[in-house]
Amino acid sequence: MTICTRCTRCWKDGPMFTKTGAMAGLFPPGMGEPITEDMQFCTAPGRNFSPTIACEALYGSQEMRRIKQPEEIRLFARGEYGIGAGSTCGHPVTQGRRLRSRRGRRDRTYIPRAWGLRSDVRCQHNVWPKRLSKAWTIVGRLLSSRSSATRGRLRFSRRRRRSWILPCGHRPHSPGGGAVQPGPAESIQPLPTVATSPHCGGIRPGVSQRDLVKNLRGCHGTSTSDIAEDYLRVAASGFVEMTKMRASWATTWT
Amino acid sequence: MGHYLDMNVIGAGAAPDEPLQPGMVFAIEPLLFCNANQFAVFIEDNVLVTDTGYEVLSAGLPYTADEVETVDDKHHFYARKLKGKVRCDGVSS
Repeated sequence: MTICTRCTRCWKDGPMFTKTGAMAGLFPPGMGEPITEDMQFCTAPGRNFSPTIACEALYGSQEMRRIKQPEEIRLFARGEYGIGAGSTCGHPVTQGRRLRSRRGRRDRTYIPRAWGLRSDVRCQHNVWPKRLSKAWTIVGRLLSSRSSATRGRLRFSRRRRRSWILPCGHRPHSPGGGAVQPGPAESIQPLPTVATSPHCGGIRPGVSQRDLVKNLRGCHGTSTSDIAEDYLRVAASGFVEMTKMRASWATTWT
Repeated sequence: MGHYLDMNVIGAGAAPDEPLQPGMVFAIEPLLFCNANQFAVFIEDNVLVTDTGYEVLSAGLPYTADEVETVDDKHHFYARKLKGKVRCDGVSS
């Protein structure tokens, strides 16, 4: 962390448009082109320090990615709390947006931010100080195309109330192909989550991702047999099968 | 199925066999989808590893179907009431 302290100038100058950097208020006015954070940490220290220090700063930054600092954790918790409170209280965090359905029809939908954007930088937009509103707008627009192209989001259709739709990405080759997929609200019930099932995952220090995947597989496998609806059972079984092909939860390590 | 929360939405993290350490934040997002029936459900929890276990940072959000429907109704209600009266900053297209 000493290296990172020495490279404070780089942290401030770099186009930190991405998540934690944005949450920590590190991104500068004007932003930069959407390049990877690795490139940012390679180029910014390289302009001001020797290559040795630049490499050390890169390693330091990678270490900081793994272990969150207390300030980062506080920001995470604050953002999550704000989103949760705003969502459950009916705070007008919704916004109108048009989505293109499979048939090319453009449906008017409203996206509760908290539902689809829990890990998205934009979920923090409405709970942040107003002075950062413009910066958040820039961040959101920068990440809009990238996020929507790679991430599935839970969305609610205004016309199909009490139904779930999920465009699993907007690329034709992704699951769902960008289609608006309806489903019953009961489909959420057979989906054990960490919050609803305390033993789902067995998360604690010292446990590896491989162990967590096994725990998740066992948790979901047990619940699969209790599902009455055939299509839900098939979907749950598919998720269990998918976990068997993965050594970790991260796609980069499969 | 999950990912670390870093400077990017999906960030690099520890290797599969590397033990978790306090201070790590990641998301676990089980996904149910069935192409035959064209439905999918995607729930994501943000989890912080603590010294004694873990803390679900996203615990304040509704999870059950009833809670979701209640929140959904509220959002639709406010969306109707505030339509045209609220300036939506951000990513609206």
